[in-house]
Amino acid sequence: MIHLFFLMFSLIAVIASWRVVAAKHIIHAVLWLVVTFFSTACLFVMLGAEFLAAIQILVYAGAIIILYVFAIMLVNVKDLDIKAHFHKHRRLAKLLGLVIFAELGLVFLQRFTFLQAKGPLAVQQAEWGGNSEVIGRLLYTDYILPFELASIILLVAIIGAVVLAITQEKRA
Amino acid sequence: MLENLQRLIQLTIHLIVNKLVPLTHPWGWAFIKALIVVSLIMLAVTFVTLAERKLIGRMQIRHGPMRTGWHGILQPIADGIKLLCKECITPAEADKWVFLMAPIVSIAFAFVPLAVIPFAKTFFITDINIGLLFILAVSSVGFLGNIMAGWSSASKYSFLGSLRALALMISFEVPMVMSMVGVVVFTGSLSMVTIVESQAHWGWFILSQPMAFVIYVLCGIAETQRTPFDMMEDEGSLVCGFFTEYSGMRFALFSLAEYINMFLVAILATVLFLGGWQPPFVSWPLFGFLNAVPSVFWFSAKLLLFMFLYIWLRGTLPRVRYDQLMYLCWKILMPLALLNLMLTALFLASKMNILIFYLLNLLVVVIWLSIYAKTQAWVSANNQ
Repeated sequence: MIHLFFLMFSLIAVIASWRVVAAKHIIHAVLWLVVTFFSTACLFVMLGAEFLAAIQILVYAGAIIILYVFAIMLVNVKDLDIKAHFHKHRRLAKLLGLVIFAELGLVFLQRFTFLQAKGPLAVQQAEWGGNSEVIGRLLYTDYILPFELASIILLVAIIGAVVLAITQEKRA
Repeated sequence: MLENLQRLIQLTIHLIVNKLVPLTHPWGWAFIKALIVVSLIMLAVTFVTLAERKLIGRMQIRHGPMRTGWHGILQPIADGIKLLCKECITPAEADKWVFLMAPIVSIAFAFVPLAVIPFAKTFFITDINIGLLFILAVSSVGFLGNIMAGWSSASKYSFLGSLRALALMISFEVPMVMSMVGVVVFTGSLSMVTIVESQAHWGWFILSQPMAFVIYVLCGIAETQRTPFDMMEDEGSLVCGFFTEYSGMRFALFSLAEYINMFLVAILATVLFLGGWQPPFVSWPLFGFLNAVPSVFWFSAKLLLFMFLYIWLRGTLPRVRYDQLMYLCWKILMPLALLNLMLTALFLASKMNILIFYLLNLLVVVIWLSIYAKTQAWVSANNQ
């Protein structure tokens, strides 16, 4: 059963992400991106990472996609000829595709050994039980420094946004 | 005796269903539960629309619907038949697929959060570890239906309506989640079932988190775009908001999704702040007899009380201007929510008596309000 679901969701994810690239209209591409995020979240659930799945939907499908849509709708993209830019970097695209294909092939050759490997999260989860508890504990103990760094970067971004908005108001 | 009756009914249903579908698999039982929840919510929605029209009629000294059935009791059914028979028109300029998908996305994501809600002591479809987070995640995706409808209709009114709704939703989501975090800090769990059960120990969270409750109610009303905050349905300037171009059953699906979202906000307020299915005064032995009433009664009573609050507000208050709304969200609700979170953390760290914490909370609200009034007076004096 679980293999069937895995196949289904990964198939949906692959098709949707292909549509993201191939869609003619940019809004369609964004909507397909939502489908991709959703099926990826389903895959996370099946791997036992419910917290990550919920955050994926909340942050990516809920917040970031809506900001994308805002940006796209307020900028008039109809005037742009999107198709003209598709064939511009064909060689680079081929090269990148080859690299990614080689990486995927390597993973297949390893016969998914990484699935058996247990990271720090899985080990702790066995001890404490529960997904969000473990992530919370790890974030505030072992990984406190990177966590605080990320918070400071976000704070700088927020202050930057406020400063930009204030100066614009003064000019007007 | 009533509990026994409840158990008997459950057992009979279980037996009947077991003969039809082999329910050894847990999914079968979950499917039946989901069917029950969906049909009951649909029924409740149809009659809440009627209640809304009757109550608002009363508040405006009219009768409301009176012609169909006794005192208009069949009105929602008549409306449903009318909407079913109407033609679904697609505008010529519209993006056909997105236009068709928008109401489906809206209604689907309105129903999904009901899966983790404990409706009674033993009745919930499923209890997952991250229940509250799941609800937030899924309901925030439901707004994609709005934006799809607004964009694909190729109409300026729909487009402006959906942009307004989204700006409102993005800003009010922040203090709303912040106000819930206080409750989560108290219980130490995101599971909805655990949140309700822990309120037997802590008392209903409306007592220890009064600020959070008020913030949650205001944000919930803004999120569901109801009357003091219904910027997107501003009839005077926007016709009908993002579903202006929709007709027939598709329109009905949108308004159904809107009402289910209202129910969801009311359900969350009940579960997080009003004790869910717990009877009142649960920790006092004197009121122990209240436990004899089936727990689903307490849940629905609180839920309906909250729905009445919604309708009452709609009948009483005028619409708020857009900049006032944003001011309320970012400069009043947001700092208050953060203050509440800090107070809660302080309480749990210092292990003080909960009664002192109730008083402390009230004191902080009073001080904050007086400071706010002083600064407002100062600002208005300086402006002149």
